Amino acid sequence: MAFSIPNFSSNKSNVRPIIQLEGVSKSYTIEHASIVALNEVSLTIYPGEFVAVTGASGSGKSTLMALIGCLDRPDTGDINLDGEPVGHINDERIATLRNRRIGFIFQSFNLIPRLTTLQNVELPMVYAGTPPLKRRRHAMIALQIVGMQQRAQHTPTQLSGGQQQRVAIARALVNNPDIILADEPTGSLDAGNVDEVMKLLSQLNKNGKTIVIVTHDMQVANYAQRTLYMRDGTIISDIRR
Amino acid sequence: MRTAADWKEYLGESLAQAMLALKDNRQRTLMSIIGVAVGIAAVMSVGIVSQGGRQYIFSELESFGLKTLWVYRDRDQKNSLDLAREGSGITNEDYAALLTGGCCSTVARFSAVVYPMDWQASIKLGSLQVRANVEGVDTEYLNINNDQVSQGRPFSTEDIKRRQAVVLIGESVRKSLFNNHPLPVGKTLRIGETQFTVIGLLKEKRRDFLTSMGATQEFDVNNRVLIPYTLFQQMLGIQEIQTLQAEVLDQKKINPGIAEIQDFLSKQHRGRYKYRADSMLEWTQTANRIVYGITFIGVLAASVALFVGGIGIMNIMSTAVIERTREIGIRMAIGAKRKDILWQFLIEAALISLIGGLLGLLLGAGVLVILARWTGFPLQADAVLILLALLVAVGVGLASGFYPARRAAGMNPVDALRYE
Repeated sequence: MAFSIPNFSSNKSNVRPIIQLEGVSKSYTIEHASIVALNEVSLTIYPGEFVAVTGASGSGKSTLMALIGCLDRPDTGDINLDGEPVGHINDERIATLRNRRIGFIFQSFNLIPRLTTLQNVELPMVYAGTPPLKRRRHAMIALQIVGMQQRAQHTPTQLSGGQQQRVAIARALVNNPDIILADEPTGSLDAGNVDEVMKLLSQLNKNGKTIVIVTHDMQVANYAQRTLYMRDGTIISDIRR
Repeated sequence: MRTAADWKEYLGESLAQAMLALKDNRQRTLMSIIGVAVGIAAVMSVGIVSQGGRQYIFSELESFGLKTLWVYRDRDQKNSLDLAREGSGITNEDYAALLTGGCCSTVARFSAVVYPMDWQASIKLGSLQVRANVEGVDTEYLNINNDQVSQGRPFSTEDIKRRQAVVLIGESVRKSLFNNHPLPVGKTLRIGETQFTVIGLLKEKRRDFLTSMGATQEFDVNNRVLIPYTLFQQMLGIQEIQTLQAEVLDQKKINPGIAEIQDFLSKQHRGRYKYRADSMLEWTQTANRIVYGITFIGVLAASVALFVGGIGIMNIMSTAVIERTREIGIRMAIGAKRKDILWQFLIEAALISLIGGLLGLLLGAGVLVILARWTGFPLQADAVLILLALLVAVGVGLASGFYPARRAAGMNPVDALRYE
């Protein structure tokens, strides 16, 4: 996995943003009350960045994540992934984008309980139409990267939280996406596993993946080179280190 | 595109899912499976019974000849002057004219049938005596009536021409007179005062169904003796034919055939007589109605059972979709298209239904064994019907799984992922 890591210390007008939001708003209706989750958010992320999004719960960080990950659509505004506008394209194309360009990591791991580790990791490739033998090979490589190849035939319930999250990372990697989105990936882990998972993500970032991570844990946010603070549906600070 | 191996995996996973659904909602799933099973058993039974019953009934109708018709003088005329006229309205000259052609392009063959007023006569063998139906017939009679000679020989044209005293006897007559002599050919018996030589035995005919329907009017087809019509006319001292039997070229020509013969006879006698005709047409129609009736009732019963089963499957699948909302969200997040989700649940529903279908085949087979034993119908399942029943099962599964599957496929991924 050889990727050239772009230099993003200066103005990057010559590099195409991998994630770009322009005046994106999103509100939800809960029991007849409309709640503005995102209010006119604009954001540009370049390939190879490691961005942490922090803020209190309800500040809109998870909504931001869902919109970047094409799990939801904005009410207004434009979202571009690698130059492709994704806010209003059809479901089939969006599914393909999620499948090929994005790897998701969740707080609660979200492995499918009755499938084995290997089957869970193979699943994105099943939806990509990858032939079975190739699928097996790539899944084993991904499990090797996260150090879980010995647990290929275990089911999620037989694994610890840290192990499950490593399997989930392998699943996120297996279709070789450019973007890894992690929503509170350490929220359900104990301290030792937090460190391990974050080191893994840092390593992936060093290998060229663009990583966006939502967290309210400042120590976790410190792994990133860029931290966004959100409040009431807007980004109130954007700090690069 | 998915490869065959993918589909195998798809099906394998769906089967595992279906089994899980079975385990989780045991009662509901079981009820649905039973519903489908009963429906499929009904579909199968109906198919086989209507098919087997049809064969059974039509084989009896065949024993009369489906292309056969009977023409005779109409004696129910209202006009008393017409009734007062003597005779059967069909003379030997008419018959000769018919045989030499010039009439009736739709008719393949004719046979004269001569019989006494009360049909029956005493048949004597030594001291034994039985009453049997005696018919004087021509050579084509056996062909027209689908009669077969199981021993001996049929009538020759010489027998007819020379008024030979030869007789073909039915199975009931043989049993009454020759019970201890299974080979009656060559024996002599007496009809009235005339000695006859038995030249053959008529093969037994089965008419249980038609007799039970009242179609044979107490006429026992196996209690029948046949002699040359020429000789019978001589014995009775008549020059006429009571009934003209004919076979038309094919079943569709029955009504034209009747019209042709009636026209011909009317012309021969310058309208002095009116004629009636019978054919098996009415009976084939009745038989068809019975078969369709059975089929209709059965299909109705099957539909109700399948509907109940289908509702059950819809219920199970709806529950499964809700219980697995989060899983649906995960699958969408990692790239499942809506149609992938749709198919996943459709296949699951179809598999549950198919399990019901397979059980239904076993159930249906059991029902048929009992039915076959009870009715004596020769009932058999063929591969086409089994395939059809399984297709129906899969169809019910797909139809009842469609609504829940569509709901699963239509979920918003972000909401599905947040579902607790």
